[in-house]
Amino acid sequence: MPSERTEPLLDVRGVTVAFGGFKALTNLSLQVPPGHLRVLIGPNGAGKSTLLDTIIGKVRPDSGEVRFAGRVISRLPEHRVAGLGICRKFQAPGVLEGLTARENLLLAARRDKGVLSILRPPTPAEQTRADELLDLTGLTGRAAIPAAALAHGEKQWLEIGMVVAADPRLLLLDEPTAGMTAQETAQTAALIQTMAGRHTVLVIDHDMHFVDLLNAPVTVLHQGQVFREGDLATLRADPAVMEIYLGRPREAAHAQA
Amino acid sequence: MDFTFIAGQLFTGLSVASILLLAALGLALSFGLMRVINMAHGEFLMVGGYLTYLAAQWAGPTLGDGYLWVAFPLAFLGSALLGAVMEFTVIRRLYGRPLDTLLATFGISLILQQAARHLFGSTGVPVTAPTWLSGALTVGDVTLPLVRLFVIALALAVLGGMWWLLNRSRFGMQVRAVNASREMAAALGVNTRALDLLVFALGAGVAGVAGVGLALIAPVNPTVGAAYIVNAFLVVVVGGVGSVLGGAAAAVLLGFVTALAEGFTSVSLAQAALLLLVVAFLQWKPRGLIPTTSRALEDA
Amino acid sequence: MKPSPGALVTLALLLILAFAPLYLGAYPLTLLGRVLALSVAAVGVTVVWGRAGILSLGQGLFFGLGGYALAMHLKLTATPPGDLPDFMVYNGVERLPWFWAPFASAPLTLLAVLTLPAAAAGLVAWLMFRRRITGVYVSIITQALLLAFVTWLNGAQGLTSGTNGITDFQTFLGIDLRSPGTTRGLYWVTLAAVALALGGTAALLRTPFGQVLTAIRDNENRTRFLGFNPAAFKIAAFMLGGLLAGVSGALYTLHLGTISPAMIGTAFSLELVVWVALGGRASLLGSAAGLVLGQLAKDRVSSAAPDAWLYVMGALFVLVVLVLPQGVAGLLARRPRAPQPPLQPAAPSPVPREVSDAL
Repeated sequence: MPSERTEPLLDVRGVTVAFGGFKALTNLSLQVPPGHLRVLIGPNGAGKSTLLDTIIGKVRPDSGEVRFAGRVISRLPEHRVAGLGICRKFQAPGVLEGLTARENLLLAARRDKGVLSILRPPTPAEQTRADELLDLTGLTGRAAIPAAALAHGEKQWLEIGMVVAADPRLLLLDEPTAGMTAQETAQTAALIQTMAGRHTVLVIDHDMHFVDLLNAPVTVLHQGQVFREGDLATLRADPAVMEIYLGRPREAAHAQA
Repeated sequence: MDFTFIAGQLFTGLSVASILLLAALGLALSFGLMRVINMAHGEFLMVGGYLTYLAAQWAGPTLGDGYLWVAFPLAFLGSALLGAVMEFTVIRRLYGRPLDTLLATFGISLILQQAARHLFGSTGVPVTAPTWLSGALTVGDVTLPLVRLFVIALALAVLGGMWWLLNRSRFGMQVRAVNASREMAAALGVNTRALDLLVFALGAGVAGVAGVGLALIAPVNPTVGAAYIVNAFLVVVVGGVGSVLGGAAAAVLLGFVTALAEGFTSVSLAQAALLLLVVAFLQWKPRGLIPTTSRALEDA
Repeated sequence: MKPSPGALVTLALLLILAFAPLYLGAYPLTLLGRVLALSVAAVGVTVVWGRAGILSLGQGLFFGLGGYALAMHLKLTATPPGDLPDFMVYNGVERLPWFWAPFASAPLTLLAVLTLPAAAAGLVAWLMFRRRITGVYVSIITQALLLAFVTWLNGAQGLTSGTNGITDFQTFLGIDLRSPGTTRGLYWVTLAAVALALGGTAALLRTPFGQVLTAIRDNENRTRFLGFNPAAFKIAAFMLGGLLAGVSGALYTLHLGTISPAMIGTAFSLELVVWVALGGRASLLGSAAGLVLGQLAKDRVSSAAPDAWLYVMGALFVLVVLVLPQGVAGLLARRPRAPQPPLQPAAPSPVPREVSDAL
């Protein structure tokens, strides 16, 4: 298990990303040790999504590098990054609409994703895993239906199932509770907490209620840089942190969902 | 290979580039705005050419050389009207399905070509250029036919007009807003549907004007549009989608390369080499000479 | 695995077609063989366009490579040893061009028919997809490449026989191509090729390969983030399309006894696409049947009223896209099945039972 080692699993070193003249990230450094859960918050435009884009290889840093398990990944194409065990869940449900729910899970569960090895049918282990996940996400009855015909909530759960099936070493969650009810948000928080330990998880959100439920170390981004790090209670007491949320009173930040 | 010859080829290339540019302007406009590839765009050129022929037939006897001033509005309005009908009946029903639009407009192009064959026959109909365009200007040893100079001037005038329209008018501001974000522009009160229709008709009308220039240079036949369309697409692709300046640069570049290559090898080899060159160019700059940074383009 | 209704219908149709030489006259049989040869290319379009979502308007390039490869061999076989093909003599070519030399050998020619179009398709696809050129760009580039090829064929008279194309074949593998028995044999060979193309492609698309292609068509980025390299899969699909087009071109050349630039140009490539669209772009049987029936109809209409044909074609392009985007196969598939589950935007999301236990 990687958690025995002390070096960080994810190591962002002095990354700068500029779009035209605008610097989205400025010399940003961030380490997440293996098995840890880390929450990233910050006002709009702080660079949260750009940071995730950089980690998964969608955006190339202008300077600095991203290391994963000691290896520089910031020059790899996206599918190679994904192949190393980094999985990102986007805000909008990213299920493959032309395939059935089961096929979605089977593709996510596959280990070998080359163009020739794809000819191998799914292994019994992969099939069992897919069926388990269908059962657990309550989609067994909908397994053979094209994902396009699933309800929005079902798509959300299918994608969570896909993330679990992919069994990533590092999981990047971009506002995972967007559009969820309070009950579903609580369930998702519990799910993420159980995933930490075996998986390393980095969560972006600005729903403070959800962040509270996660009960994990928080990094505050501001203007493309790390502004503060600490636990949520300490950060809440920090007037500078409240200040960057446009001086919004605490309750407003609370209510934001 | 002497200087006179090369200069002559370059001049011919410039006049070819002018027509290419006018054809490509409309394509770039509708592709930039609606992500639509209109395979029937070449037929707007053809329609403009035939309308010039008709203007010469009808108005020639009474107006003499003045038929040309009838031909311009006729070609512009005729092609624009056809474009508007096409947009209204077919293209807007296929919104968000670029490949299907490509196929449907190809069908329309087949129908229009066949209709032209029915009405005018498959051989070209000649249009006599006005007498004041029949001479040539001589600069040193190089002869510059006035007709070709006129076509170049026409392209420059239209280009200038389009630049003003897009960058200085209220209409242009709306077009640029929709280009940047269709949803946001709609939310701000731009009638995007009406704008689509107008832009498409405008692009068609400009192609119709290009057809007038074409008719002055060579006889008009049913496949004249098809002959220009692939190169016009290449201009759009090489220039960078949605960039008027890039399109102009690409048109001149393509016109020069073709004209020069034709001077050294056969026409067909030059054409083949040019197409390969464009594909090679896209390896180097997949987004064209002047890329437009727009997220929406990546889906196109 | 249970055979699907589509597979059963395909089998039945192939069986009926296998006995066609017994109940069809000479001309209808020739015509049928010819359009069956073309349907192999249509199967390729289904993979490339229907499944992978890549609209190639340049399939004639790969079709032509297969056709010309075989035609060169047939021409050399029909030329007395030591002589040059007649058109080279007329054009003052004095030595056999280097790229003609390998086609003197029948095994090398067959190898070329199977590999050359696929390799060319692979190269074209690699150049495009590695730079993430997609959508209408691909359509325009493939069309431009086809145009470049046709223009070169037309221009290089001495090397390719130009617009006349390569013709006057006599024997292939020692078989006289003009004897009546050959027509039947060729028909069966063609039908076998169609069966192989349909069966092989169907089997391939049933593997996860087919699912990944669909995934890329629907959401390329999402597929990439799942760890699949879309470029590799699209190149593979494009190569398969090229292979099938090449085989189709070779067979078609045998049927017609000639190949010329006019046979493989833009019009041909677009016709291929429209018949596939009409039959059903995502359905193998639909697109093959669409092509066969479409070409048969073309034979009828264009001999009765040649002018009307282009109107019919043009109208078909527009109507299929507007009214029948999934083609006739899509229309048929919708009916017999149980009604689709209604979209329930307000459906309560299922509550996962202890998802965390699975971790």
